[in-house]
Amino acid sequence: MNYTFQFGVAFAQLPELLKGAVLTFELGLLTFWGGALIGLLGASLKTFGGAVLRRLAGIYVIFFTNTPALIQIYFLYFGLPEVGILWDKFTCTLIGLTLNAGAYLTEIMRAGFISVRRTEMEAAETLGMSVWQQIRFVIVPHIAKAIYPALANFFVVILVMGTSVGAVIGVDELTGQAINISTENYRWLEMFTLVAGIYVVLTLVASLSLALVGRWAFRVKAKVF
Amino acid sequence: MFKRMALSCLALVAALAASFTVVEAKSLDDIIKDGVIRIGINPNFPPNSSRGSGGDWEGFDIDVGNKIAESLGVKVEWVPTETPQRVPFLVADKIDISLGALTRSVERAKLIEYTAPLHTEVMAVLMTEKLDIKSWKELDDSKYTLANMRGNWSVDYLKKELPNSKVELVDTIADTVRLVAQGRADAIVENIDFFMKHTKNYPDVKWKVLPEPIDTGWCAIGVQRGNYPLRDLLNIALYSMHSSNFVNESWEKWYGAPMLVKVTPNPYF
Repeated sequence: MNYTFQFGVAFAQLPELLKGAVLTFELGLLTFWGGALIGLLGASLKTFGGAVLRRLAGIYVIFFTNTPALIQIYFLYFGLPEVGILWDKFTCTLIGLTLNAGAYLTEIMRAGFISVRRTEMEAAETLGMSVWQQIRFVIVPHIAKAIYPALANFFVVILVMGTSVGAVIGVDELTGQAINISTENYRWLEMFTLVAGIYVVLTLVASLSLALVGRWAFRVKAKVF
Repeated sequence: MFKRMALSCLALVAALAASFTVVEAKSLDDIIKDGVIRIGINPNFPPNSSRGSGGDWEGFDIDVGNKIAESLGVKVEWVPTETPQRVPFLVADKIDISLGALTRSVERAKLIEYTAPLHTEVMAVLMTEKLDIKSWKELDDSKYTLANMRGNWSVDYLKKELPNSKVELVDTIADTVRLVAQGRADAIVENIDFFMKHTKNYPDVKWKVLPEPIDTGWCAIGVQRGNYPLRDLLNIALYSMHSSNFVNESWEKWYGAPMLVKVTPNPYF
Protein backbone atom coordinates (compact mmCIF):
# COMPACT_ATOMS: atom_id res chain seq x y z
CA MET A 1 0.00 0.00 0.00
CA ASN A 2 2.15 2.90 -1.20
CA TYR A 3 2.29 5.62 -3.81
CA THR A 4 4.80 5.69 -6.65
CA PHE A 5 5.62 9.10 -8.06
CA GLN A 6 5.48 9.37 -11.83
CA PHE A 7 6.73 12.82 -12.75
CA GLY A 8 7.09 11.73 -16.38
CA VAL A 9 3.29 11.75 -16.64
CA ALA A 10 3.21 15.34 -15.40
CA PHE A 11 6.07 16.56 -17.60
CA ALA A 12 4.32 15.07 -20.64
CA GLN A 13 1.58 17.65 -20.04
CA LEU A 14 4.00 20.58 -19.97
CA PRO A 15 2.83 22.05 -23.32
CA GLU A 16 -0.78 22.21 -22.04
CA LEU A 17 0.35 23.71 -18.75
CA LEU A 18 2.42 26.34 -20.53
CA LYS A 19 -0.66 27.30 -22.58
CA GLY A 20 -2.39 27.81 -19.25
CA ALA A 21 0.56 29.85 -17.98
CA VAL A 22 0.26 32.16 -21.01
CA LEU A 23 -3.43 32.67 -20.21
CA THR A 24 -2.54 33.32 -16.55
CA PHE A 25 -0.11 36.05 -17.62
CA GLU A 26 -2.64 37.53 -20.05
CA LEU A 27 -5.35 37.58 -17.39
CA GLY A 28 -2.94 39.09 -14.87
CA LEU A 29 -1.85 41.88 -17.23
CA LEU A 30 -5.38 42.77 -18.34
CA THR A 31 -6.65 42.69 -14.75
CA PHE A 32 -3.84 44.90 -13.53
CA TRP A 33 -4.17 47.55 -16.23
CA GLY A 34 -7.95 47.58 -16.04
CA GLY A 35 -7.73 47.79 -12.26
CA ALA A 36 -5.17 50.60 -12.50
CA LEU A 37 -7.50 52.70 -14.67
CA ILE A 38 -10.36 52.10 -12.24
CA GLY A 39 -7.99 52.84 -9.37
CA LEU A 40 -6.98 56.15 -10.91
CA LEU A 41 -10.63 57.09 -11.44
CA GLY A 42 -11.60 55.95 -7.97
CA ALA A 43 -8.74 57.82 -6.31
CA SER A 44 -9.64 60.96 -8.28
CA LEU A 45 -13.28 60.76 -7.23
CA LYS A 46 -12.37 60.16 -3.60
CA THR A 47 -9.94 63.08 -3.59
CA PHE A 48 -11.61 65.66 -5.82
CA GLY A 49 -15.17 64.48 -6.22
CA GLY A 50 -18.27 65.95 -4.62
CA ALA A 51 -19.95 64.36 -1.61
CA VAL A 52 -22.09 61.99 -3.66
CA LEU A 53 -19.25 60.78 -5.90
CA ARG A 54 -16.92 60.37 -2.93
CA ARG A 55 -19.58 58.30 -1.14
CA LEU A 56 -20.19 56.12 -4.22
CA ALA A 57 -16.47 55.50 -4.66
CA GLY A 58 -16.24 54.67 -0.95
CA ILE A 59 -19.08 52.13 -1.19
CA TYR A 60 -17.42 50.52 -4.21
CA VAL A 61 -14.11 50.17 -2.33
CA ILE A 62 -15.74 48.84 0.85
CA PHE A 63 -17.81 46.28 -1.06
CA PHE A 64 -15.04 44.94 -3.28
CA THR A 65 -12.32 44.83 -0.65
CA ASN A 66 -14.54 43.14 1.91
CA THR A 67 -15.93 40.36 -0.24
CA PRO A 68 -13.87 37.55 -1.77
CA ALA A 69 -13.05 37.79 -5.48
CA LEU A 70 -14.54 34.31 -5.88
CA ILE A 71 -17.96 35.48 -4.66
CA GLN A 72 -17.82 38.39 -7.11
CA ILE A 73 -16.94 36.06 -10.00
CA TYR A 74 -19.67 33.58 -9.00
CA PHE A 75 -22.16 36.44 -9.02
CA LEU A 76 -21.16 37.45 -12.54
CA TYR A 77 -20.99 33.89 -13.88
CA PHE A 78 -23.94 32.19 -12.16
CA GLY A 79 -26.05 35.15 -11.02
CA LEU A 80 -26.23 37.49 -14.03
CA PRO A 81 -27.67 34.87 -16.44
CA GLU A 82 -30.76 34.80 -14.21
CA VAL A 83 -31.42 38.38 -15.40
CA GLY A 84 -30.51 37.63 -19.00
CA ILE A 85 -26.83 38.68 -19.05
CA LEU A 86 -24.66 35.82 -20.29
CA TRP A 87 -20.90 36.44 -20.36
CA ASP A 88 -18.36 33.68 -20.96
CA LYS A 89 -16.15 32.42 -18.13
CA PHE A 90 -13.06 34.40 -19.18
CA THR A 91 -15.00 37.66 -19.35
CA CYS A 92 -16.62 37.02 -15.96
CA THR A 93 -13.24 36.26 -14.39
CA LEU A 94 -11.63 39.30 -16.00
CA ILE A 95 -14.40 41.69 -14.97
CA GLY A 96 -14.59 40.24 -11.46
CA LEU A 97 -10.84 40.41 -10.88
CA THR A 98 -10.58 43.88 -12.47
CA LEU A 99 -13.30 45.32 -10.23
CA ASN A 100 -11.66 43.67 -7.23
CA ALA A 101 -8.20 44.96 -8.17
CA GLY A 102 -9.61 48.40 -8.93
CA ALA A 103 -10.86 48.73 -5.36
CA TYR A 104 -7.45 47.94 -3.86
CA LEU A 105 -5.68 50.14 -6.41
CA THR A 106 -8.06 53.00 -5.61
CA GLU A 107 -6.75 53.02 -2.07
CA ILE A 108 -3.11 52.60 -3.12
CA MET A 109 -3.38 55.53 -5.53
CA ARG A 110 -5.39 57.65 -3.12
CA ALA A 111 -2.57 57.31 -0.62
CA GLY A 112 -0.27 58.60 -3.33
CA PHE A 113 -2.65 61.47 -4.19
CA ILE A 114 -2.80 62.81 -0.67
CA SER A 115 0.98 62.61 -0.33
CA VAL A 116 1.43 65.41 -2.91
CA ARG A 117 2.16 68.70 -1.15
CA ARG A 118 -0.74 71.10 -0.86
CA THR A 119 1.41 73.98 -2.19
CA GLU A 120 2.01 72.10 -5.44
CA MET A 121 -1.72 71.56 -5.91
CA GLU A 122 -2.47 75.21 -5.13
CA ALA A 123 0.17 76.30 -7.64
CA ALA A 124 -1.39 74.07 -10.30
CA GLU A 125 -4.81 75.51 -9.49
CA THR A 126 -3.46 79.02 -9.70
CA LEU A 127 -2.08 78.25 -13.16
CA GLY A 128 -5.60 77.40 -14.24
CA MET A 129 -5.13 73.65 -14.60
CA SER A 130 -8.30 71.55 -14.58
CA VAL A 131 -8.61 68.61 -12.17
CA TRP A 132 -7.59 66.15 -14.89
CA GLN A 133 -4.59 68.28 -15.85
CA GLN A 134 -3.54 68.42 -12.21
CA ILE A 135 -3.78 64.65 -11.97
CA ARG A 136 -1.93 64.10 -15.24
CA PHE A 137 0.84 66.70 -14.96
CA VAL A 138 1.32 67.15 -11.22
CA ILE A 139 0.07 64.18 -9.20
CA VAL A 140 0.96 61.16 -11.36
CA PRO A 141 4.57 62.19 -12.07
CA HIS A 142 5.05 62.90 -8.36
CA ILE A 143 3.57 59.71 -7.00
CA ALA A 144 4.68 57.28 -9.70
CA LYS A 145 8.00 56.52 -8.04
CA ALA A 146 6.52 56.30 -4.54
CA ILE A 147 3.67 53.91 -5.39
CA TYR A 148 5.57 51.87 -7.98
CA PRO A 149 6.77 49.21 -5.47
CA ALA A 150 3.24 48.80 -4.11
CA LEU A 151 1.83 48.48 -7.63
CA ALA A 152 4.54 46.01 -8.64
CA ASN A 153 3.86 43.84 -5.57
CA PHE A 154 0.15 44.00 -6.27
CA PHE A 155 0.69 42.80 -9.82
CA VAL A 156 2.55 39.74 -8.58
CA VAL A 157 -0.26 39.00 -6.08
CA ILE A 158 -2.88 39.23 -8.87
CA LEU A 159 -0.77 37.05 -11.14
CA VAL A 160 -0.30 34.25 -8.65
CA MET A 161 -3.33 34.33 -6.36
CA GLY A 162 -5.91 36.28 -8.29
CA THR A 163 -5.93 34.50 -11.63
CA SER A 164 -6.16 30.98 -10.16
CA VAL A 165 -9.63 31.84 -8.85
CA GLY A 166 -10.84 31.54 -12.46
CA ALA A 167 -10.17 27.79 -12.28
CA VAL A 168 -13.28 27.38 -10.16
CA ILE A 169 -15.53 28.33 -13.09
CA GLY A 170 -13.45 26.43 -15.62
CA VAL A 171 -11.09 29.06 -17.04
CA ASP A 172 -8.15 27.13 -18.54
CA GLU A 173 -5.43 29.21 -16.96
CA LEU A 174 -2.53 27.41 -15.25
CA THR A 175 -4.41 26.11 -12.20
CA GLY A 176 -7.49 25.28 -14.29
CA GLN A 177 -5.42 23.30 -16.78
CA ALA A 178 -3.73 21.44 -13.94
CA ILE A 179 -7.07 20.53 -12.36
CA ASN A 180 -8.53 19.37 -15.70
CA ILE A 181 -5.50 17.22 -16.49
CA SER A 182 -5.23 15.84 -12.94
CA THR A 183 -8.85 14.71 -12.95
CA GLU A 184 -8.01 12.64 -16.04
CA ASN A 185 -4.57 11.21 -15.19
CA TYR A 186 -5.01 11.24 -11.37
CA ARG A 187 -1.44 12.38 -10.85
CA TRP A 188 -2.38 15.31 -8.57
CA LEU A 189 0.81 15.35 -6.54
CA GLU A 190 3.09 15.39 -9.54
CA MET A 191 0.98 17.87 -11.51
CA PHE A 192 0.69 20.41 -8.74
CA THR A 193 4.36 20.15 -7.82
CA LEU A 194 5.14 21.04 -11.43
CA VAL A 195 2.51 23.82 -11.42
CA ALA A 196 3.99 25.28 -8.23
CA GLY A 197 7.36 25.37 -9.99
CA ILE A 198 5.83 27.15 -12.99
CA TYR A 199 4.20 29.75 -10.71
CA VAL A 200 7.56 30.39 -9.03
CA VAL A 201 9.16 30.93 -12.43
CA LEU A 202 6.29 33.25 -13.47
CA THR A 203 6.61 35.39 -10.35
CA LEU A 204 10.40 35.53 -10.62
CA VAL A 205 10.16 36.67 -14.24
CA ALA A 206 7.51 39.24 -13.32
CA SER A 207 9.46 40.48 -10.29
CA LEU A 208 12.73 40.77 -12.24
CA SER A 209 11.04 42.60 -15.12
CA LEU A 210 9.32 45.03 -12.77
CA ALA A 211 12.54 45.61 -10.85
CA LEU A 212 14.38 46.40 -14.09
CA VAL A 213 11.60 48.77 -15.21
CA GLY A 214 11.68 50.43 -11.80
CA ARG A 215 15.44 50.94 -11.98
CA TRP A 216 15.25 52.34 -15.51
CA ALA A 217 12.19 54.59 -15.11
CA PHE A 218 12.50 55.78 -11.54
CA ARG A 219 16.08 54.96 -10.58
CA VAL A 220 14.59 52.83 -7.79
CA LYS A 221 17.12 50.48 -6.21
CA ALA A 222 14.76 47.53 -6.43
CA LYS A 223 16.06 44.19 -5.22
CA VAL A 224 14.42 40.90 -6.19
CA PHE A 225 16.68 38.56 -4.18
CA MET B 1 23.37 35.76 -4.58
CA PHE B 2 22.65 32.85 -6.91
CA LYS B 3 24.56 30.42 -4.68
CA ARG B 4 22.36 31.49 -1.76
CA MET B 5 19.25 31.08 -3.89
CA ALA B 6 20.34 27.65 -5.13
CA LEU B 7 21.04 26.49 -1.57
CA SER B 8 17.64 27.77 -0.42
CA CYS B 9 15.90 25.91 -3.26
CA LEU B 10 17.76 22.70 -2.45
CA ALA B 11 16.79 23.01 1.22
CA LEU B 12 13.14 23.55 0.24
CA VAL B 13 13.11 20.54 -2.08
CA ALA B 14 14.73 18.38 0.62
CA ALA B 15 12.14 19.49 3.16
CA LEU B 16 9.30 18.79 0.72
CA ALA B 17 10.70 15.36 -0.13
CA ALA B 18 10.96 14.50 3.54
CA SER B 19 7.34 15.50 4.06
CA PHE B 20 6.08 13.17 1.31
CA THR B 21 5.40 10.26 3.65
CA VAL B 22 3.55 7.26 2.26
CA VAL B 23 -0.09 7.37 3.44
CA GLU B 24 -1.17 3.81 4.08
CA ALA B 25 -4.84 2.84 4.05
CA LYS B 26 -6.55 1.98 7.26
CA SER B 27 -6.59 -1.81 7.38
CA LEU B 28 -9.76 -3.85 7.71
CA ASP B 29 -8.69 -4.83 11.23
CA ASP B 30 -8.25 -1.17 12.20
CA ILE B 31 -11.66 -0.28 10.80
CA ILE B 32 -13.29 -3.01 12.87
CA LYS B 33 -11.21 -2.16 15.94
CA ASP B 34 -12.06 1.58 15.70
CA GLY B 35 -15.70 0.77 15.06
CA VAL B 36 -16.11 3.26 12.20
CA ILE B 37 -15.80 3.15 8.42
CA ARG B 38 -15.24 6.39 6.46
CA ILE B 39 -17.41 6.36 3.35
CA GLY B 40 -16.97 8.99 0.63
CA ILE B 41 -20.31 10.16 -0.78
CA ASN B 42 -21.23 12.99 -3.10
CA PRO B 43 -22.82 15.72 -0.97
CA ASN B 44 -25.35 16.88 -3.58
CA PHE B 45 -26.21 13.92 -5.75
CA PRO B 46 -29.90 13.11 -5.32
CA PRO B 47 -31.17 10.43 -5.32
CA ASN B 48 -27.82 8.74 -4.67
CA SER B 49 -26.83 10.91 -1.71
CA SER B 50 -28.04 14.25 -0.44
CA ARG B 51 -29.33 15.87 2.73
CA GLY B 52 -32.98 15.21 3.42
CA SER B 53 -35.33 17.85 4.78
CA GLY B 54 -34.31 16.85 8.31
CA GLY B 55 -30.63 17.30 7.53
CA ASP B 56 -29.78 13.56 7.54
CA TRP B 57 -28.08 11.89 4.61
CA GLU B 58 -30.41 9.89 2.39
CA GLY B 59 -30.27 8.03 -0.91
CA PHE B 60 -29.22 4.85 -2.66
CA ASP B 61 -25.55 5.21 -1.62
CA ILE B 62 -26.62 5.83 1.98
CA ASP B 63 -28.63 2.60 2.01
CA VAL B 64 -25.68 0.68 0.55
CA GLY B 65 -23.20 2.28 2.96
CA ASN B 66 -25.37 1.48 5.96
CA LYS B 67 -25.70 -2.12 4.78
CA ILE B 68 -21.91 -2.45 4.47
CA ALA B 69 -21.36 -0.95 7.93
CA GLU B 70 -23.99 -3.28 9.39
CA SER B 71 -22.21 -6.31 7.91
CA LEU B 72 -18.92 -5.11 9.43
CA GLY B 73 -20.50 -4.23 12.74
CA VAL B 74 -19.24 -0.63 12.66
CA LYS B 75 -20.68 2.90 12.44
CA VAL B 76 -20.43 5.09 9.34
CA GLU B 77 -18.62 8.40 9.08
CA TRP B 78 -19.98 10.02 5.91
CA VAL B 79 -17.29 12.09 4.19
CA PRO B 80 -18.59 14.60 1.58
CA THR B 81 -16.54 13.84 -1.54
CA GLU B 82 -17.12 15.72 -4.79
CA THR B 83 -16.69 13.90 -8.10
CA PRO B 84 -13.06 14.97 -8.74
CA GLN B 85 -12.11 14.10 -5.15
CA ARG B 86 -13.09 10.43 -5.09
CA VAL B 87 -9.79 8.94 -6.28
CA PRO B 88 -7.52 11.52 -4.57
CA PHE B 89 -9.32 10.97 -1.24
CA LEU B 90 -8.75 7.20 -1.49
CA VAL B 91 -5.08 7.70 -2.36
CA ALA B 92 -4.64 10.14 0.52
CA ASP B 93 -6.49 7.86 2.97
CA LYS B 94 -9.14 10.48 3.71
CA ILE B 95 -11.79 7.80 3.11
CA ASP B 96 -11.82 4.01 3.45
CA ILE B 97 -14.22 3.40 0.56
CA SER B 98 -15.71 5.56 -2.17
CA LEU B 99 -19.28 5.35 -3.38
CA GLY B 100 -20.67 8.17 -5.55
CA ALA B 101 -21.14 6.21 -8.78
CA LEU B 102 -17.42 5.50 -9.23
CA THR B 103 -17.34 4.10 -12.76
CA ARG B 104 -14.66 1.55 -13.49
CA SER B 105 -11.94 2.86 -15.73
CA VAL B 106 -8.37 1.79 -16.47
CA GLU B 107 -7.00 5.22 -15.53
CA ARG B 108 -8.54 5.02 -12.08
CA ALA B 109 -7.57 1.35 -11.69
CA LYS B 110 -3.93 2.40 -11.98
CA LEU B 111 -4.33 4.12 -8.63
CA ILE B 112 -7.09 2.38 -6.67
CA GLU B 113 -8.70 -1.04 -6.29
CA TYR B 114 -12.25 -1.70 -7.50
CA THR B 115 -14.72 -4.19 -6.12
CA ALA B 116 -17.13 -6.15 -8.30
CA PRO B 117 -19.85 -3.88 -9.75
CA LEU B 118 -22.38 -2.29 -7.43
CA HIS B 119 -24.63 -0.80 -10.13
CA THR B 120 -24.61 0.33 -13.73
CA GLU B 121 -25.17 3.63 -15.46
CA VAL B 122 -26.49 4.07 -18.97
CA MET B 123 -25.51 7.18 -20.90
CA ALA B 124 -28.02 9.25 -22.82
CA VAL B 125 -28.43 12.90 -23.84
CA LEU B 126 -30.10 15.53 -21.66
CA MET B 127 -30.72 18.78 -23.53
CA THR B 128 -33.38 21.45 -24.08
CA GLU B 129 -35.88 21.87 -26.87
CA LYS B 130 -33.62 24.54 -28.38
CA LEU B 131 -31.59 21.66 -29.82
CA ASP B 132 -32.98 19.84 -32.84
CA ILE B 133 -31.00 16.60 -33.09
CA LYS B 134 -32.14 12.99 -33.42
CA SER B 135 -28.95 11.17 -32.49
CA TRP B 136 -26.13 11.81 -30.01
CA LYS B 137 -23.59 11.54 -32.83
CA GLU B 138 -24.88 14.83 -34.28
CA LEU B 139 -23.27 16.54 -31.27
CA ASP B 140 -19.88 15.82 -32.84
CA ASP B 141 -19.69 19.38 -34.14
CA SER B 142 -17.79 22.40 -32.89
CA LYS B 143 -21.01 24.42 -32.75
CA TYR B 144 -22.17 22.31 -29.81
CA THR B 145 -20.90 22.64 -26.25
CA LEU B 146 -21.25 19.76 -23.82
CA ALA B 147 -21.44 20.29 -20.07
CA ASN B 148 -19.64 17.79 -17.86
CA MET B 149 -17.93 17.41 -14.52
CA ARG B 150 -14.23 17.30 -13.86
CA GLY B 151 -13.26 13.79 -12.80
CA ASN B 152 -16.07 12.07 -14.72
CA TRP B 153 -14.95 9.05 -16.76
CA SER B 154 -17.20 10.29 -19.57
CA VAL B 155 -14.97 13.35 -20.15
CA ASP B 156 -12.33 11.07 -21.66
CA TYR B 157 -14.93 8.86 -23.40
CA LEU B 158 -16.54 11.85 -25.12
CA LYS B 159 -13.15 13.26 -26.20
CA LYS B 160 -12.78 10.08 -28.27
CA GLU B 161 -16.42 9.69 -29.41
CA LEU B 162 -17.29 13.36 -29.99
CA PRO B 163 -13.89 14.93 -30.61
CA ASN B 164 -15.23 17.99 -32.44
CA SER B 165 -17.62 19.20 -29.77
CA LYS B 166 -16.54 21.78 -27.22
CA VAL B 167 -16.63 20.97 -23.49
CA GLU B 168 -17.34 23.12 -20.43
CA LEU B 169 -16.16 21.50 -17.23
CA VAL B 170 -17.51 22.32 -13.78
CA ASP B 171 -17.20 20.65 -10.40
CA THR B 172 -20.69 19.59 -9.38
CA ILE B 173 -23.82 17.96 -10.82
CA ALA B 174 -25.86 21.06 -9.97
CA ASP B 175 -23.46 23.32 -11.90
CA THR B 176 -23.52 20.95 -14.89
CA VAL B 177 -27.30 21.25 -15.14
CA ARG B 178 -27.07 25.00 -14.58
CA LEU B 179 -24.73 25.38 -17.56
CA VAL B 180 -27.39 23.93 -19.88
CA ALA B 181 -30.27 25.74 -18.19
CA GLN B 182 -28.51 29.11 -18.56
CA GLY B 183 -27.51 28.45 -22.17
CA ARG B 184 -23.76 28.17 -21.63
CA ALA B 185 -23.84 24.57 -22.86
CA ASP B 186 -26.14 22.69 -25.20
CA ALA B 187 -26.34 19.21 -23.72
CA ILE B 188 -25.17 16.75 -21.09
CA VAL B 189 -24.08 13.36 -22.36
CA GLU B 190 -23.91 11.24 -19.24
CA ASN B 191 -26.00 8.96 -17.08
CA ILE B 192 -28.86 11.39 -17.05
CA ASP B 193 -30.63 9.65 -14.15
CA PHE B 194 -28.07 11.40 -11.97
CA PHE B 195 -29.01 14.83 -13.31
CA MET B 196 -32.80 14.73 -13.54
CA LYS B 197 -33.51 15.88 -9.98
CA HIS B 198 -31.57 19.09 -10.57
CA THR B 199 -33.61 19.95 -13.69
CA LYS B 200 -36.56 20.58 -11.35
CA ASN B 201 -34.75 23.76 -10.24
CA TYR B 202 -35.41 25.20 -13.71
CA PRO B 203 -39.15 24.78 -14.31
CA ASP B 204 -39.15 27.36 -17.12
CA VAL B 205 -36.61 25.42 -19.16
CA LYS B 206 -38.09 22.92 -21.64
CA TRP B 207 -35.90 19.87 -20.98
CA LYS B 208 -35.67 17.05 -23.48
CA VAL B 209 -34.06 13.61 -23.30
CA LEU B 210 -32.84 11.60 -26.26
CA PRO B 211 -33.68 8.07 -25.12
CA GLU B 212 -31.17 6.29 -27.37
CA PRO B 213 -28.77 4.55 -24.89
CA ILE B 214 -25.15 5.28 -25.73
CA ASP B 215 -22.98 3.16 -23.46
CA THR B 216 -23.16 1.26 -20.18
CA GLY B 217 -20.74 2.10 -17.41
CA TRP B 218 -20.14 -0.22 -14.49
CA CYS B 219 -19.88 1.46 -11.10
CA ALA B 220 -18.12 -0.22 -8.23
CA ILE B 221 -16.84 0.61 -4.77
CA GLY B 222 -13.34 2.07 -4.66
CA VAL B 223 -10.75 1.20 -2.00
CA GLN B 224 -7.14 2.24 -1.63
CA ARG B 225 -4.54 0.41 -3.70
CA GLY B 226 -3.47 -2.81 -2.04
CA ASN B 227 -6.26 -2.91 0.55
CA TYR B 228 -7.19 -6.43 -0.54
CA PRO B 229 -8.78 -7.68 2.71
CA LEU B 230 -11.29 -4.83 2.64
CA ARG B 231 -11.91 -5.25 -1.10
CA ASP B 232 -12.51 -9.00 -0.73
CA LEU B 233 -14.89 -8.46 2.18
CA LEU B 234 -16.83 -5.90 0.14
CA ASN B 235 -17.09 -8.36 -2.76
CA ILE B 236 -18.66 -10.91 -0.47
CA ALA B 237 -21.02 -8.28 0.98
CA LEU B 238 -21.94 -7.16 -2.56
CA TYR B 239 -22.76 -10.71 -3.62
CA SER B 240 -25.07 -10.97 -0.64
CA MET B 241 -26.72 -7.58 -1.39
CA HIS B 242 -27.25 -8.46 -5.04
CA SER B 243 -28.53 -11.99 -4.55
CA SER B 244 -31.01 -10.84 -1.86
CA ASN B 245 -32.23 -8.18 -4.36
CA PHE B 246 -31.36 -5.42 -1.85
CA VAL B 247 -29.47 -3.40 -4.48
CA ASN B 248 -32.25 -3.54 -7.08
CA GLU B 249 -34.96 -2.74 -4.56
CA SER B 250 -33.02 0.19 -3.13
CA TRP B 251 -32.32 1.51 -6.63
CA GLU B 252 -35.96 1.34 -7.62
CA LYS B 253 -37.01 2.98 -4.34
CA TRP B 254 -34.77 6.01 -4.93
CA TYR B 255 -34.80 6.29 -8.72
CA GLY B 256 -38.45 5.45 -9.23
CA ALA B 257 -37.63 2.86 -11.90
CA PRO B 258 -35.59 -0.34 -12.13
CA MET B 259 -31.92 -0.21 -13.14
CA LEU B 260 -31.84 -0.37 -16.95
CA VAL B 261 -28.95 -2.84 -17.00
CA LYS B 262 -28.89 -5.00 -13.89
CA VAL B 263 -25.81 -6.46 -12.25
CA THR B 264 -25.82 -10.29 -12.23
CA PRO B 265 -24.52 -11.54 -8.85
CA ASN B 266 -21.48 -13.73 -9.26
CA PRO B 267 -20.04 -15.74 -6.35
CA TYR B 268 -16.60 -15.89 -8.01
CA PHE B 269 -14.37 -12.79 -8.16
